[in-house]
Amino acid sequence: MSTPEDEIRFAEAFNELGEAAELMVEPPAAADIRGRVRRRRATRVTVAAVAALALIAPASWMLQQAATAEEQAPAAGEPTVEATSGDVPVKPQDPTSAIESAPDAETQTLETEPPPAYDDLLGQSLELPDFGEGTEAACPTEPAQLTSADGDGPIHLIKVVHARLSANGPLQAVALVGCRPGEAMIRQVLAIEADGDGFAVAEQLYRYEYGENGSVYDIAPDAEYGVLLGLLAVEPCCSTQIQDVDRWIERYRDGGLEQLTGGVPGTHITDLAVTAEVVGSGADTREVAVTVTNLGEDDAAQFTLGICSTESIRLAGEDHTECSDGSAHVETVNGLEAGESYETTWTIEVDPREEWPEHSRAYGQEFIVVLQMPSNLVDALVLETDWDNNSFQRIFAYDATD
Amino acid sequence: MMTRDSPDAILDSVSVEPPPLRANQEFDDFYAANVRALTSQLLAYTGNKAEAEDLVAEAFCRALARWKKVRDYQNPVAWVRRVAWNLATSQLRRRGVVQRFLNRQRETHETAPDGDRVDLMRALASIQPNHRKAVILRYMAGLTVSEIAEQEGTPEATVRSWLFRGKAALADRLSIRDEREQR
Repeated sequence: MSTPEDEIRFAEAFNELGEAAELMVEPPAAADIRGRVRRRRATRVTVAAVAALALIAPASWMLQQAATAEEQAPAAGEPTVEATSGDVPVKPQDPTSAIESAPDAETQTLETEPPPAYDDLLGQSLELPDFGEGTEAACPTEPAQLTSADGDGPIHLIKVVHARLSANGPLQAVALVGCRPGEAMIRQVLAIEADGDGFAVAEQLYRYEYGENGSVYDIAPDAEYGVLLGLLAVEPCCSTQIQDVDRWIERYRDGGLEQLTGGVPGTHITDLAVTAEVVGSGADTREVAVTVTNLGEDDAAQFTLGICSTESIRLAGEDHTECSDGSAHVETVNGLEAGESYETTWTIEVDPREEWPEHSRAYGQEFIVVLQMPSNLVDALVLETDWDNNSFQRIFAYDATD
Repeated sequence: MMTRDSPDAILDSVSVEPPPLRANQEFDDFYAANVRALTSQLLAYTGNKAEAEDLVAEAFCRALARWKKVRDYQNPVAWVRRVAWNLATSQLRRRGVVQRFLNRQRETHETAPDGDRVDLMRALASIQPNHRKAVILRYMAGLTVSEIAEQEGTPEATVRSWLFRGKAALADRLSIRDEREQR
Protein backbone atom coordinates (compact mmCIF):
# COMPACT_ATOMS: atom_id res chain seq x y z
CA MET A 1 0.00 0.00 0.00
CA SER A 2 1.31 3.45 -0.75
CA THR A 3 1.27 6.07 1.98
CA PRO A 4 0.61 9.80 1.58
CA GLU A 5 4.36 10.27 2.04
CA ASP A 6 5.00 7.97 -0.91
CA GLU A 7 2.57 9.99 -2.99
CA ILE A 8 4.39 13.20 -2.11
CA ARG A 9 7.77 11.64 -2.92
CA PHE A 10 6.49 10.39 -6.28
CA ALA A 11 4.94 13.73 -7.12
CA GLU A 12 8.15 15.58 -6.22
CA ALA A 13 10.38 13.16 -8.12
CA PHE A 14 8.28 13.34 -11.25
CA ASN A 15 7.93 17.07 -10.96
CA GLU A 16 11.72 17.37 -10.95
CA LEU A 17 12.04 14.94 -13.83
CA GLY A 18 9.42 16.85 -15.79
CA GLU A 19 11.18 20.17 -15.28
CA ALA A 20 14.56 18.75 -16.26
CA ALA A 21 13.14 16.96 -19.30
CA GLU A 22 11.34 20.08 -20.49
CA LEU A 23 14.66 21.91 -20.51
CA MET A 24 16.31 19.02 -22.30
CA VAL A 25 13.94 18.54 -25.22
CA GLU A 26 14.28 20.52 -28.42
CA PRO A 27 10.93 20.49 -30.17
CA PRO A 28 10.70 21.98 -33.66
CA ALA A 29 9.28 25.47 -34.07
CA ALA A 30 5.59 25.86 -34.85
CA ALA A 31 6.59 27.07 -38.32
CA ASP A 32 8.27 23.70 -38.95
CA ILE A 33 5.06 21.88 -38.05
CA ARG A 34 3.18 24.17 -40.40
CA GLY A 35 5.70 23.43 -43.17
CA ARG A 36 5.36 19.68 -42.73
CA VAL A 37 1.58 19.84 -42.93
CA ARG A 38 1.74 22.07 -45.99
CA ARG A 39 4.08 19.65 -47.76
CA ARG A 40 1.85 16.69 -46.92
CA ARG A 41 -1.22 18.44 -48.28
CA ALA A 42 0.67 19.28 -51.43
CA THR A 43 1.86 15.70 -51.81
CA ARG A 44 -1.68 14.39 -51.33
CA VAL A 45 -3.02 16.67 -54.04
CA THR A 46 -0.16 15.64 -56.35
CA VAL A 47 -0.79 11.96 -55.68
CA ALA A 48 -4.50 12.45 -56.34
CA ALA A 49 -3.64 14.11 -59.63
CA VAL A 50 -1.36 11.22 -60.59
CA ALA A 51 -4.10 8.75 -59.64
CA ALA A 52 -6.56 10.60 -61.84
CA LEU A 53 -4.06 10.42 -64.70
CA ALA A 54 -3.70 6.70 -64.07
CA LEU A 55 -7.47 6.32 -64.50
CA ILE A 56 -7.56 8.43 -67.63
CA ALA A 57 -4.64 6.61 -69.28
CA PRO A 58 -6.31 3.17 -69.44
CA ALA A 59 -9.51 4.85 -70.61
CA SER A 60 -7.63 6.43 -73.51
CA TRP A 61 -6.02 3.10 -74.20
CA MET A 62 -9.42 1.42 -74.24
CA LEU A 63 -10.67 4.02 -76.71
CA GLN A 64 -7.75 3.28 -79.00
CA GLN A 65 -8.45 -0.43 -78.73
CA ALA A 66 -12.13 0.09 -79.46
CA ALA A 67 -11.29 2.15 -82.53
CA THR A 68 -9.08 -0.61 -83.90
CA ALA A 69 -11.13 -3.56 -82.61
CA GLU A 70 -12.24 -4.56 -86.08
CA GLU A 71 -8.64 -4.71 -87.28
CA GLN A 72 -7.25 -6.78 -84.39
CA ALA A 73 -8.58 -10.19 -83.46
CA PRO A 74 -8.07 -11.07 -79.74
CA ALA A 75 -5.91 -14.06 -78.89
CA ALA A 76 -8.03 -17.15 -78.30
CA GLY A 77 -8.86 -17.79 -74.63
CA GLU A 78 -7.07 -14.69 -73.40
CA PRO A 79 -9.27 -12.48 -71.21
CA THR A 80 -8.28 -9.26 -72.91
CA VAL A 81 -9.70 -5.83 -72.34
CA GLU A 82 -10.67 -5.75 -76.03
CA ALA A 83 -13.03 -8.65 -75.46
CA THR A 84 -14.68 -6.85 -72.52
CA SER A 85 -14.86 -3.49 -74.17
CA GLY A 86 -16.19 -5.13 -77.29
CA ASP A 87 -19.39 -5.87 -75.36
CA VAL A 88 -19.82 -2.23 -74.42
CA PRO A 89 -20.55 0.35 -77.11
CA VAL A 90 -17.91 3.07 -76.93
CA LYS A 91 -17.98 6.38 -78.72
CA PRO A 92 -14.39 7.30 -79.53
CA GLN A 93 -15.21 11.01 -79.27
CA ASP A 94 -16.54 10.69 -75.71
CA PRO A 95 -13.62 10.10 -73.31
CA THR A 96 -15.85 9.40 -70.32
CA SER A 97 -18.14 6.83 -71.85
CA ALA A 98 -15.65 3.98 -71.54
CA ILE A 99 -15.29 4.59 -67.81
CA GLU A 100 -18.99 5.08 -67.22
CA SER A 101 -20.13 2.06 -69.17
CA ALA A 102 -17.69 -0.41 -67.62
CA PRO A 103 -19.46 -0.69 -64.23
CA ASP A 104 -22.76 -1.56 -65.95
CA ALA A 105 -21.17 -4.56 -67.57
CA GLU A 106 -19.58 -5.53 -64.26
CA THR A 107 -22.76 -5.12 -62.28
CA GLN A 108 -24.48 -7.69 -64.43
CA THR A 109 -21.74 -10.17 -63.63
CA LEU A 110 -21.59 -9.35 -59.93
CA GLU A 111 -25.34 -9.90 -59.43
CA THR A 112 -24.76 -13.60 -59.80
CA GLU A 113 -21.57 -13.68 -57.75
CA PRO A 114 -21.46 -14.53 -54.05
CA PRO A 115 -20.75 -11.72 -51.57
CA PRO A 116 -17.06 -10.90 -51.02
CA ALA A 117 -15.14 -13.24 -48.73
CA TYR A 118 -12.34 -12.44 -46.29
CA ASP A 119 -9.61 -12.80 -48.91
CA ASP A 120 -11.54 -10.58 -51.33
CA LEU A 121 -11.68 -7.76 -48.80
CA LEU A 122 -8.19 -8.07 -47.37
CA GLY A 123 -6.02 -5.24 -48.67
CA GLN A 124 -8.97 -3.33 -50.12
CA SER A 125 -9.37 0.38 -49.46
CA LEU A 126 -12.83 1.64 -48.69
CA GLU A 127 -14.60 4.39 -46.82
CA LEU A 128 -15.56 3.25 -43.32
CA PRO A 129 -17.74 4.79 -40.63
CA ASP A 130 -15.45 6.40 -38.04
CA PHE A 131 -14.32 4.58 -34.92
CA GLY A 132 -15.52 7.31 -32.56
CA GLU A 133 -14.55 10.78 -31.44
CA GLY A 134 -10.85 11.30 -30.92
CA THR A 135 -9.83 8.28 -32.98
CA GLU A 136 -9.57 10.05 -36.33
CA ALA A 137 -5.80 10.21 -36.37
CA ALA A 138 -5.11 6.70 -35.12
CA CYS A 139 -7.95 5.11 -37.11
CA PRO A 140 -8.19 6.85 -40.50
CA THR A 141 -11.32 5.85 -42.36
CA GLU A 142 -11.40 8.03 -45.47
CA PRO A 143 -10.51 5.61 -46.94
CA ALA A 144 -9.04 2.80 -44.89
CA GLN A 145 -7.01 -0.11 -46.13
CA LEU A 146 -8.08 -3.38 -44.51
CA THR A 147 -5.09 -5.31 -43.18
CA SER A 148 -5.04 -8.73 -41.58
CA ALA A 149 -5.74 -9.16 -37.87
CA ASP A 150 -2.02 -9.32 -37.12
CA GLY A 151 -1.00 -6.89 -39.87
CA ASP A 152 0.58 -3.50 -39.41
CA GLY A 153 -2.81 -1.85 -39.55
CA PRO A 154 -4.13 0.48 -38.36
CA ILE A 155 -7.45 -0.94 -39.61
CA HIS A 156 -7.74 -4.71 -39.21
CA LEU A 157 -10.11 -7.04 -41.01
CA ILE A 158 -10.78 -9.64 -38.34
CA LYS A 159 -13.50 -11.82 -39.83
CA VAL A 160 -16.04 -11.96 -42.66
CA VAL A 161 -19.23 -14.06 -42.64
CA HIS A 162 -22.08 -14.36 -45.11
CA ALA A 163 -25.61 -13.89 -43.79
CA ARG A 164 -29.11 -12.75 -44.75
CA LEU A 165 -29.96 -9.70 -42.67
CA SER A 166 -33.71 -10.04 -43.32
CA ALA A 167 -35.87 -13.12 -43.92
CA ASN A 168 -35.99 -12.77 -47.70
CA GLY A 169 -32.96 -10.56 -48.14
CA PRO A 170 -29.90 -11.38 -50.22
CA LEU A 171 -26.85 -13.07 -48.78
CA GLN A 172 -24.48 -10.30 -47.64
CA ALA A 173 -20.90 -10.05 -46.45
CA VAL A 174 -20.70 -8.93 -42.83
CA ALA A 175 -17.27 -7.94 -41.56
CA LEU A 176 -15.77 -7.50 -38.13
CA VAL A 177 -13.30 -4.63 -38.42
CA GLY A 178 -11.08 -3.29 -35.66
CA CYS A 179 -8.69 -0.50 -34.85
CA ARG A 180 -6.55 -0.01 -31.77
CA PRO A 181 -6.20 3.72 -31.01
CA GLY A 182 -4.83 2.98 -27.55
CA GLU A 183 -4.51 -0.23 -25.58
CA ALA A 184 -8.12 -1.16 -26.25
CA MET A 185 -9.40 -2.21 -29.66
CA ILE A 186 -12.55 -0.69 -31.11
CA ARG A 187 -14.41 -3.14 -33.30
CA GLN A 188 -17.36 -2.50 -35.53
CA VAL A 189 -19.59 -4.80 -37.54
CA LEU A 190 -20.26 -3.73 -41.11
CA ALA A 191 -22.26 -5.07 -44.03
CA ILE A 192 -20.06 -4.68 -47.11
CA GLU A 193 -21.08 -4.95 -50.74
CA ALA A 194 -19.45 -4.72 -54.15
CA ASP A 195 -19.35 -1.22 -55.55
CA GLY A 196 -18.04 -0.93 -59.08
CA ASP A 197 -14.46 -2.20 -59.06
CA GLY A 198 -14.24 -2.01 -55.29
CA PHE A 199 -16.36 -2.40 -52.21
CA ALA A 200 -18.44 -0.12 -50.02
CA VAL A 201 -20.03 -0.24 -46.60
CA ALA A 202 -23.75 -0.81 -46.99
CA GLU A 203 -24.67 -0.65 -43.32
CA GLN A 204 -23.10 -0.33 -39.86
CA LEU A 205 -24.60 -3.02 -37.65
CA TYR A 206 -22.69 -2.26 -34.47
CA ARG A 207 -19.81 -0.21 -33.09
CA TYR A 208 -18.16 -0.54 -29.71
CA GLU A 209 -18.00 2.80 -27.96
CA TYR A 210 -14.48 3.43 -26.66
CA GLY A 211 -14.28 2.71 -22.94
CA GLU A 212 -17.93 1.62 -22.66
CA ASN A 213 -19.53 -1.79 -22.11
CA GLY A 214 -20.26 -4.14 -24.98
CA SER A 215 -17.06 -4.91 -26.84
CA VAL A 216 -17.81 -7.21 -29.78
CA TYR A 217 -15.27 -10.03 -29.89
CA ASP A 218 -16.68 -12.16 -32.71
CA ILE A 219 -19.48 -12.55 -35.25
CA ALA A 220 -21.21 -15.56 -36.82
CA PRO A 221 -24.15 -16.12 -39.16
CA ASP A 222 -27.39 -17.08 -37.38
CA ALA A 223 -28.71 -20.53 -38.36
CA GLU A 224 -31.99 -18.98 -39.59
CA TYR A 225 -31.11 -15.45 -40.66
CA GLY A 226 -29.26 -12.50 -39.19
CA VAL A 227 -25.83 -12.20 -37.57
CA LEU A 228 -24.79 -13.25 -34.07
CA LEU A 229 -22.58 -10.85 -32.13
CA GLY A 230 -20.50 -12.12 -29.23
CA LEU A 231 -20.16 -9.30 -26.69
CA LEU A 232 -18.06 -8.74 -23.58
CA ALA A 233 -18.89 -6.27 -20.83
CA VAL A 234 -15.25 -5.18 -20.72
CA GLU A 235 -12.90 -4.86 -23.66
CA PRO A 236 -10.25 -7.48 -22.84
CA CYS A 237 -7.42 -5.31 -24.06
CA CYS A 238 -5.21 -5.60 -21.06
CA SER A 239 -5.75 -9.03 -19.71
CA THR A 240 -5.24 -12.56 -20.88
CA GLN A 241 -8.00 -13.73 -18.52
CA ILE A 242 -11.60 -13.42 -19.65
CA GLN A 243 -13.24 -16.02 -17.40
CA ASP A 244 -14.91 -13.58 -15.05
CA VAL A 245 -15.95 -11.02 -17.63
CA ASP A 246 -19.71 -10.78 -18.28
CA ARG A 247 -20.51 -11.92 -21.78
CA TRP A 248 -23.64 -12.30 -23.83
CA ILE A 249 -24.84 -12.80 -27.39
CA GLU A 250 -26.99 -10.48 -29.47
CA ARG A 251 -28.51 -11.09 -32.88
CA TYR A 252 -28.81 -8.46 -35.57
CA ARG A 253 -31.69 -8.99 -37.98
CA ASP A 254 -34.36 -6.87 -39.65
CA GLY A 255 -32.47 -3.69 -38.83
CA GLY A 256 -32.22 -4.20 -35.06
CA LEU A 257 -30.33 -5.99 -32.27
CA GLU A 258 -31.88 -8.35 -29.71
CA GLN A 259 -30.19 -10.08 -26.81
CA LEU A 260 -30.40 -13.89 -26.87
CA THR A 261 -30.83 -15.92 -23.72
CA GLY A 262 -30.15 -19.60 -23.11
CA GLY A 263 -27.76 -21.70 -25.11
CA VAL A 264 -27.00 -20.53 -28.60
CA PRO A 265 -25.95 -23.32 -30.95
CA GLY A 266 -22.59 -22.93 -32.63
CA THR A 267 -20.77 -21.04 -29.88
CA HIS A 268 -17.34 -22.14 -28.75
CA ILE A 269 -16.45 -20.64 -25.37
CA THR A 270 -13.31 -22.54 -24.56
CA ASP A 271 -10.21 -22.65 -22.43
CA LEU A 272 -7.61 -24.62 -24.34
CA ALA A 273 -4.36 -25.40 -22.54
CA VAL A 274 -1.20 -26.64 -24.21
CA THR A 275 1.79 -28.41 -22.70
CA ALA A 276 4.90 -29.94 -24.24
CA GLU A 277 7.15 -32.62 -22.84
CA VAL A 278 10.37 -34.14 -24.16
CA VAL A 279 9.68 -37.87 -24.41
CA GLY A 280 12.70 -39.05 -26.36
CA SER A 281 16.22 -37.95 -27.31
CA GLY A 282 18.42 -38.66 -30.33
CA ALA A 283 21.88 -37.35 -31.17
CA ASP A 284 20.68 -33.87 -32.10
CA THR A 285 16.94 -34.36 -31.88
CA ARG A 286 14.21 -34.50 -29.25
CA GLU A 287 10.79 -36.07 -29.52
CA VAL A 288 8.32 -33.64 -28.02
CA ALA A 289 4.81 -34.70 -27.02
CA VAL A 290 2.46 -31.74 -27.40
CA THR A 291 -0.85 -32.05 -25.56
CA VAL A 292 -3.85 -29.75 -25.87
CA THR A 293 -6.66 -30.07 -23.35
CA ASN A 294 -10.04 -28.37 -23.58
CA LEU A 295 -10.77 -27.07 -20.09
CA GLY A 296 -13.71 -24.95 -21.28
CA GLU A 297 -17.45 -25.45 -21.15
CA ASP A 298 -17.99 -25.83 -24.93
CA ASP A 299 -16.47 -27.91 -27.69
CA ALA A 300 -13.60 -26.05 -29.30
CA ALA A 301 -13.67 -25.08 -32.96
CA GLN A 302 -10.69 -25.40 -35.27
CA PHE A 303 -7.35 -24.31 -33.81
CA THR A 304 -3.75 -24.28 -34.99
CA LEU A 305 -0.47 -25.24 -33.37
CA GLY A 306 2.75 -23.48 -34.22
CA ILE A 307 6.28 -23.15 -32.99
CA CYS A 308 8.83 -20.41 -32.53
CA SER A 309 12.32 -20.74 -31.14
CA THR A 310 15.79 -19.35 -30.66
CA GLU A 311 18.35 -19.93 -33.40
CA SER A 312 19.77 -23.30 -32.32
CA ILE A 313 16.40 -25.07 -32.13
CA ARG A 314 13.91 -25.81 -34.90
CA LEU A 315 11.24 -28.20 -36.03
CA ALA A 316 13.04 -31.01 -37.88
CA GLY A 317 13.67 -30.01 -41.48
CA GLU A 318 12.37 -26.46 -41.04
CA ASP A 319 13.97 -23.07 -40.48
CA HIS A 320 13.53 -21.59 -37.05
CA THR A 321 11.10 -18.70 -36.54
CA GLU A 322 12.01 -16.06 -33.98
CA CYS A 323 9.24 -15.57 -31.46
CA SER A 324 9.34 -11.82 -32.07
CA ASP A 325 8.29 -12.61 -35.67
CA GLY A 326 5.30 -14.78 -34.67
CA SER A 327 5.26 -18.55 -35.04
CA ALA A 328 5.50 -21.09 -37.83
CA HIS A 329 2.34 -23.12 -38.45
CA VAL A 330 2.80 -26.82 -37.72
CA GLU A 331 -0.68 -28.33 -37.76
CA THR A 332 -4.40 -27.55 -37.74
CA VAL A 333 -6.77 -29.45 -35.47
CA ASN A 334 -10.44 -29.53 -36.40
CA GLY A 335 -12.06 -29.10 -33.02
CA LEU A 336 -11.83 -30.68 -29.60
CA GLU A 337 -14.71 -31.71 -27.33
CA ALA A 338 -15.03 -30.17 -23.88
CA GLY A 339 -12.92 -32.10 -21.39
CA GLU A 340 -11.02 -33.98 -24.11
CA SER A 341 -7.32 -33.89 -24.98
CA TYR A 342 -5.42 -33.99 -28.26
CA GLU A 343 -1.86 -35.29 -28.39
CA THR A 344 0.70 -35.04 -31.15
CA THR A 345 4.44 -35.66 -31.35
CA TRP A 346 6.95 -33.36 -33.00
CA THR A 347 10.63 -33.86 -33.68
CA ILE A 348 12.82 -30.94 -32.66
CA GLU A 349 16.40 -30.44 -33.82
CA VAL A 350 18.78 -29.02 -31.22
CA ASP A 351 22.24 -27.94 -32.40
CA PRO A 352 25.20 -29.33 -30.42
CA ARG A 353 25.91 -27.11 -27.41
CA GLU A 354 29.35 -26.10 -28.69
CA GLU A 355 27.69 -24.54 -31.74
CA TRP A 356 25.38 -22.35 -29.70
CA PRO A 357 26.11 -18.65 -29.97
CA GLU A 358 27.92 -17.32 -26.96
CA HIS A 359 25.22 -14.85 -26.04
CA SER A 360 22.70 -17.64 -25.55
CA ARG A 361 24.78 -19.78 -23.24
CA ALA A 362 23.78 -18.14 -19.98
CA TYR A 363 20.06 -18.27 -20.65
CA GLY A 364 19.97 -21.33 -22.84
CA GLN A 365 17.93 -21.98 -25.97
CA GLU A 366 14.18 -22.29 -26.06
CA PHE A 367 11.18 -23.20 -28.14
CA ILE A 368 7.61 -22.15 -27.55
CA VAL A 369 4.54 -24.08 -28.71
CA VAL A 370 1.86 -21.58 -29.69
CA LEU A 371 -1.86 -22.37 -29.90
CA GLN A 372 -4.04 -20.00 -31.90
CA MET A 373 -7.74 -19.91 -32.75
CA PRO A 374 -8.25 -18.23 -36.12
CA SER A 375 -11.93 -17.40 -35.69
CA ASN A 376 -12.06 -15.97 -39.21
CA LEU A 377 -12.01 -19.56 -40.53
CA VAL A 378 -15.02 -20.65 -38.48
CA ASP A 379 -18.68 -19.69 -39.03
CA ALA A 380 -19.31 -19.64 -35.28
CA LEU A 381 -18.66 -17.49 -32.23
CA VAL A 382 -15.26 -18.35 -30.82
CA LEU A 383 -13.86 -17.07 -27.53
CA GLU A 384 -10.80 -18.25 -25.66
CA THR A 385 -11.26 -17.32 -22.02
CA ASP A 386 -7.69 -17.83 -20.83
CA TRP A 387 -4.77 -17.02 -23.08
CA ASP A 388 -2.18 -17.60 -20.36
CA ASN A 389 -2.06 -21.35 -21.03
CA ASN A 390 -2.16 -21.16 -24.82
CA SER A 391 1.58 -21.33 -25.20
CA PHE A 392 4.21 -23.50 -23.60
CA GLN A 393 7.86 -22.61 -23.27
CA ARG A 394 10.64 -25.21 -23.01
CA ILE A 395 14.19 -24.09 -22.23
CA PHE A 396 17.31 -26.17 -22.94
CA ALA A 397 20.18 -25.26 -20.63
CA TYR A 398 23.71 -24.90 -21.96
CA ASP A 399 25.08 -27.25 -19.32
CA ALA A 400 22.75 -29.98 -20.63
CA THR A 401 21.05 -30.38 -17.27
CA ASP A 402 17.61 -30.34 -18.90
CA MET B 1 16.39 28.00 -63.15
CA MET B 2 13.19 26.46 -61.93
CA THR B 3 10.95 24.89 -64.54
CA ARG B 4 7.29 23.98 -64.23
CA ASP B 5 8.31 20.31 -64.12
CA SER B 6 10.54 20.55 -61.08
CA PRO B 7 9.20 19.20 -57.77
CA ASP B 8 9.20 22.70 -56.32
CA ALA B 9 7.17 23.91 -59.23
CA ILE B 10 4.64 21.16 -58.60
CA LEU B 11 4.42 22.20 -54.98
CA ASP B 12 3.99 25.80 -56.01
CA SER B 13 1.30 24.92 -58.47
CA VAL B 14 -0.79 23.06 -55.94
CA SER B 15 -3.36 25.16 -54.26
CA VAL B 16 -2.73 24.79 -50.54
CA GLU B 17 -5.10 27.00 -48.70
CA PRO B 18 -3.35 28.58 -45.72
CA PRO B 19 -5.41 28.74 -42.54
CA PRO B 20 -6.56 32.23 -41.54
CA LEU B 21 -4.00 34.26 -39.61
CA ARG B 22 -5.97 34.16 -36.37
CA ALA B 23 -6.10 30.37 -36.53
CA ASN B 24 -2.35 30.39 -37.17
CA GLN B 25 -1.69 32.39 -34.05
CA GLU B 26 -4.13 30.27 -32.07
CA PHE B 27 -2.35 27.07 -33.11
CA ASP B 28 1.08 28.60 -32.44
CA ASP B 29 0.01 29.58 -28.91
CA PHE B 30 -1.47 26.16 -28.32
CA TYR B 31 1.72 24.51 -29.60
CA ALA B 32 4.02 26.71 -27.52
CA ALA B 33 1.99 26.11 -24.38
CA ASN B 34 1.99 22.34 -24.61
CA VAL B 35 4.80 20.98 -26.75
CA ARG B 36 7.52 20.83 -24.10
CA ALA B 37 5.38 19.21 -21.44
CA LEU B 38 4.10 16.58 -23.86
CA THR B 39 7.56 15.89 -25.25
CA SER B 40 9.02 15.47 -21.78
CA GLN B 41 6.29 12.93 -20.93
CA LEU B 42 7.03 10.95 -24.08
CA LEU B 43 10.75 11.20 -23.35
CA ALA B 44 10.12 9.60 -19.96
CA TYR B 45 8.12 6.86 -21.71
CA THR B 46 10.40 6.11 -24.66
CA GLY B 47 13.72 7.06 -23.07
CA ASN B 48 14.77 8.58 -26.38
CA LYS B 49 14.75 12.33 -26.91
CA ALA B 50 14.69 12.34 -30.72
CA GLU B 51 11.93 9.76 -30.78
CA ALA B 52 9.84 11.69 -28.27
CA GLU B 53 10.27 14.88 -30.29
CA ASP B 54 9.24 13.08 -33.50
CA LEU B 55 6.17 11.51 -31.93
CA VAL B 56 4.93 14.76 -30.45
CA ALA B 57 5.66 16.68 -33.65
CA GLU B 58 3.64 14.10 -35.58
CA ALA B 59 0.75 14.48 -33.14
CA PHE B 60 0.79 18.25 -33.54
CA CYS B 61 0.96 17.86 -37.35
CA ARG B 62 -2.19 15.80 -37.22
CA ALA B 63 -3.82 18.36 -34.95
CA LEU B 64 -2.91 21.19 -37.32
CA ALA B 65 -4.21 19.24 -40.33
CA ARG B 66 -7.66 19.19 -38.70
CA TRP B 67 -7.25 22.25 -36.52
CA LYS B 68 -10.69 23.66 -37.29
CA LYS B 69 -12.20 20.58 -35.71
CA VAL B 70 -9.66 19.93 -32.95
CA ARG B 71 -9.71 23.47 -31.58
CA ASP B 72 -13.44 23.11 -30.93
CA TYR B 73 -12.96 20.02 -28.79
CA GLN B 74 -13.52 20.52 -25.11
CA ASN B 75 -9.88 19.63 -24.43
CA PRO B 76 -7.67 19.88 -27.54
CA VAL B 77 -4.51 19.07 -25.61
CA ALA B 78 -6.07 15.79 -24.48
CA TRP B 79 -6.60 14.95 -28.16
CA VAL B 80 -2.97 15.67 -29.03
CA ARG B 81 -1.76 13.79 -25.97
CA ARG B 82 -3.84 10.77 -26.91
CA VAL B 83 -2.53 10.79 -30.47
CA ALA B 84 1.09 11.13 -29.30
CA TRP B 85 0.74 8.32 -26.80
CA ASN B 86 -1.04 6.12 -29.32
CA LEU B 87 1.80 6.66 -31.75
CA ALA B 88 4.31 5.80 -29.03
CA THR B 89 2.37 2.70 -28.03
CA SER B 90 2.13 1.55 -31.64
CA GLN B 91 5.82 2.13 -32.14
CA LEU B 92 6.71 0.19 -29.03
CA ARG B 93 4.31 -2.60 -29.99
CA ARG B 94 5.86 -2.83 -33.43
CA ARG B 95 9.23 -3.35 -31.88
CA GLY B 96 7.64 -6.27 -30.15
CA VAL B 97 9.42 -6.70 -26.90
CA VAL B 98 10.34 -4.59 -23.96
CA GLN B 99 13.78 -6.15 -23.97
CA ARG B 100 14.72 -4.38 -27.14
CA PHE B 101 13.57 -1.15 -25.61
CA LEU B 102 15.79 -1.78 -22.61
CA ASN B 103 18.75 -2.69 -24.79
CA ARG B 104 18.35 0.53 -26.68
CA GLN B 105 18.26 2.38 -23.38
CA ARG B 106 21.68 1.05 -22.55
CA GLU B 107 23.06 2.07 -25.92
CA THR B 108 21.84 5.66 -25.70
CA HIS B 109 24.56 8.09 -24.78
CA GLU B 110 22.82 11.39 -25.10
CA THR B 111 22.67 14.10 -22.48
CA ALA B 112 20.33 12.95 -19.77
CA PRO B 113 19.03 14.36 -16.54
CA ASP B 114 21.51 13.88 -13.75
CA GLY B 115 21.47 12.44 -10.22
CA ASP B 116 18.19 11.11 -8.90
CA ARG B 117 16.50 11.83 -12.20
CA VAL B 118 18.76 9.35 -13.97
CA ASP B 119 17.76 6.73 -11.43
CA LEU B 120 14.11 7.50 -12.03
CA MET B 121 14.53 7.32 -15.80
CA ARG B 122 16.33 4.00 -15.52
CA ALA B 123 13.76 2.66 -13.13
CA LEU B 124 10.98 3.77 -15.49
CA ALA B 125 12.67 2.03 -18.40
CA SER B 126 12.70 -1.24 -16.51
CA ILE B 127 9.00 -1.48 -15.65
CA GLN B 128 6.17 -2.70 -17.90
CA PRO B 129 5.06 -0.25 -20.60
CA ASN B 130 1.47 -0.06 -19.31
CA HIS B 131 2.68 0.62 -15.79
CA ARG B 132 5.19 3.18 -17.04
CA LYS B 133 2.55 4.91 -19.10
CA ALA B 134 0.10 5.10 -16.20
CA VAL B 135 2.68 6.47 -13.77
CA ILE B 136 3.89 9.12 -16.22
CA LEU B 137 0.38 10.21 -17.11
CA ARG B 138 -0.54 10.39 -13.43
CA TYR B 139 2.52 12.11 -12.04
CA MET B 140 4.01 14.01 -14.96
CA ALA B 141 0.91 14.89 -16.96
CA GLY B 142 -1.20 15.23 -13.81
CA LEU B 143 -4.12 13.23 -15.17
CA THR B 144 -6.67 11.62 -12.87
CA VAL B 145 -7.32 7.89 -12.94
CA SER B 146 -10.54 8.48 -14.82
CA GLU B 147 -8.79 10.67 -17.41
CA ILE B 148 -6.12 8.01 -17.97
CA ALA B 149 -8.85 5.38 -18.30
CA GLU B 150 -10.63 7.52 -20.86
CA GLN B 151 -7.47 8.12 -22.87
CA GLU B 152 -6.56 4.44 -22.91
CA GLY B 153 -10.11 3.10 -23.30
CA THR B 154 -9.70 0.89 -20.27
CA PRO B 155 -11.67 0.46 -17.04
CA GLU B 156 -10.55 2.64 -14.13
CA ALA B 157 -9.80 -0.49 -12.13
CA THR B 158 -7.21 -1.47 -14.73
CA VAL B 159 -5.54 1.93 -14.49
CA ARG B 160 -5.49 1.70 -10.69
CA SER B 161 -3.83 -1.70 -11.03
CA TRP B 162 -1.24 -0.31 -13.47
CA LEU B 163 -0.51 2.58 -11.11
CA PHE B 164 -0.24 0.36 -8.07
CA ARG B 165 2.09 -2.09 -9.76
CA GLY B 166 4.08 0.64 -11.49
CA LYS B 167 4.66 2.53 -8.28
CA ALA B 168 5.57 -0.63 -6.39
CA ALA B 169 8.07 -1.61 -9.09
CA LEU B 170 9.59 1.87 -9.13
CA ALA B 171 9.81 2.05 -5.36
CA ASP B 172 11.44 -1.35 -5.32
CA ARG B 173 14.05 -0.43 -7.91
CA LEU B 174 14.81 2.96 -6.41
CA SER B 175 15.10 1.64 -2.87
CA ILE B 176 17.45 -1.13 -4.04
CA ARG B 177 19.71 1.54 -5.50
CA ASP B 178 19.45 3.59 -2.30
CA GLU B 179 20.55 0.60 -0.28
CA ARG B 180 23.47 -0.11 -2.60
CA GLU B 181 24.61 3.49 -2.39
CA GLN B 182 24.48 3.40 1.40
CA ARG B 183 26.76 0.35 1.54
